Amino acid sequence: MIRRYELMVMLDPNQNDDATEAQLKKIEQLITSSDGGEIINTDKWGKKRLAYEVNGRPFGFYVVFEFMLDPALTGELERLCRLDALNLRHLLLNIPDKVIKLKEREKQLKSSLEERRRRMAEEAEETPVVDMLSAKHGEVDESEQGEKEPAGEGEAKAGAESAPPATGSEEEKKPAAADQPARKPAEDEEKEMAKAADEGGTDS
Amino acid sequence: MMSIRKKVDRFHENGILYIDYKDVKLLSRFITEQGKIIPRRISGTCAKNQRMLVDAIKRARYMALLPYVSDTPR
Repeated sequence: MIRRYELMVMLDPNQNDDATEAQLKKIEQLITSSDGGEIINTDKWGKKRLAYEVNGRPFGFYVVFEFMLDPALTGELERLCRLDALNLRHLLLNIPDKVIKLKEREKQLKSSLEERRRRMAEEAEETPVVDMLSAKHGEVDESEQGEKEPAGEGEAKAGAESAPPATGSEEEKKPAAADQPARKPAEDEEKEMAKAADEGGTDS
Repeated sequence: MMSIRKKVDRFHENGILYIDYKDVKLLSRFITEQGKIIPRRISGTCAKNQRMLVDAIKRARYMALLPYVSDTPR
């Protein structure tokens, strides 16, 4: 049986490139020389500042391998990493199929979310034009509408049976006009909430 | 205002299903300046994601991608 793994190693950044390459070769060889072993991806992050000093070193050279390997050989790989004195830290993780599926779904989800946001942004760009117009002419109108509407609705319901044509035409206009400005504040609120959430995460 | 704000799981919001320990930028938003993990009562993260987040942060700490403790804010 072959499983998917991920190995992150942190090497000494002070050694020369040849030594680093030799270390990586050893790991690669162990994987590729085994039955069914196959390297999917090698990601060299390069020299990075560490969050804390490891063996007195403020920097580390990170490399991430993704590969298929027989689980029986993980012990061998661990041993190889542990014995290498200049391999400062290593982390070998099994990547279950579930996680791979999740990552794929995540990609789809993210792209669909992005699309939805783009559409929302486009709509938001269109609406201000309408808002500006209604704001200029409609400051008085809006207050009037707000007061009238509940009464108007009551009338419409009461008068629906007695005189539908007269109230019906008025009713149709009002909701359409009120709809546009009402939608915009809701969007703004959402954005503000997202912003507030971001800030909340960083300062506290 | 702050007290009535509805809690939102930011992983749900951004379509994140698997929290990877390598994504330092994302994880660093869920730790305080001292390096502590922000409790979900404050961050609003759902239980499932908080568990995954904690695992990811601890792995990142071991690989020195995130601090265990830090007094100096970055």
